[in-house]
Amino acid sequence: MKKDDLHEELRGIAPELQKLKGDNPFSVPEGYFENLPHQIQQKRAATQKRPLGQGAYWGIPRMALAGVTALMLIVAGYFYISNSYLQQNDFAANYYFEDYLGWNAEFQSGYFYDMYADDMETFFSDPQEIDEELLEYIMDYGDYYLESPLAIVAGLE
Amino acid sequence: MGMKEYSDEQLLEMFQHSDNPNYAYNLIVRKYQERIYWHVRRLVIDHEDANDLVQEVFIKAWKAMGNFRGDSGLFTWFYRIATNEALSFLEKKKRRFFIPWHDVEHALGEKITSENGFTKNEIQKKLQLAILSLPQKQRVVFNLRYFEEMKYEEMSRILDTSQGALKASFHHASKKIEEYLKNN
Repeated sequence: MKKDDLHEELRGIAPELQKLKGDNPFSVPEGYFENLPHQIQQKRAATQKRPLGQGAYWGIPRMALAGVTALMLIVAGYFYISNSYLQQNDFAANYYFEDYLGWNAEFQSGYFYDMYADDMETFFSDPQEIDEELLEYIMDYGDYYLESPLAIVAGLE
Repeated sequence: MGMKEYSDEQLLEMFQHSDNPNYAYNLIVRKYQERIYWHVRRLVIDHEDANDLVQEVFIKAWKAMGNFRGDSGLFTWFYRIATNEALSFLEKKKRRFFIPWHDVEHALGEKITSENGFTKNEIQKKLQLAILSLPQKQRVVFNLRYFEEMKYEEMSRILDTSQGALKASFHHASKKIEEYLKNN
């Protein structure tokens, strides 16, 4: 028996699988592989043409941005609720609230990237706009999600 | 007229030290595009998704190849990038819509049964649905071994997992799929 022979291996453990070997069930458009190198070259050239500002922006690690947005949400949330619900239920509100915000900020910044990543050039001409738009988006959604944990920890419906 | 076949070391040398890295890069793309494409396609099922991911793989490789030392070999390196891109894509799909894996699996299964870009052979469809039922990393192991007949030694370098663990994973996956085919 040839060492590392797949057919022998399958014959012992899964004979039906061994019989199915050979067929490729997927298909590709005609000429796809002939054109693929050219497509890759075009996409690569388009990536390189992006202005230095945008390239530098995308160099910022996503987690670092998520951390910054989490911090901003925590600060904003603190001022928002410090005069109301937290006074009524300090321990529970702080625990759920900060934990939730940390997760939410990471998700929302990731969601923002996913939503806009392919269309950055369409949506934003100035890299600075991206920062402002992202922060505005996070704050809007942050406000939305703030309501639920606040209602829960404050014992409201 | 056939193109001359260069080894990975020659291609890397050409890319890193010649005046025309584009030429070497094109040769590298042509050498690996089909293998990388099929590896990704088997994971993400949809041709358009696979197309986007494959292009990302090669663009990332372009950016990093200048500093690539070649310790692991181009083959291993490309497969590693492609596997990570495909799994990240599937993970992102799950996270974006807050859906658990089995719903992503169901959505991919619908692409298989819709016959668009897929064979009409019912047994092959059943096989693909069975593979979809595996955990993601086990799918990778199964695909590499079953469809590409990759040696465990090479797979171990790509996935950074011991050969023993990979063999066990493949055996379990094969048995599960065999059972699925018998019961469906």
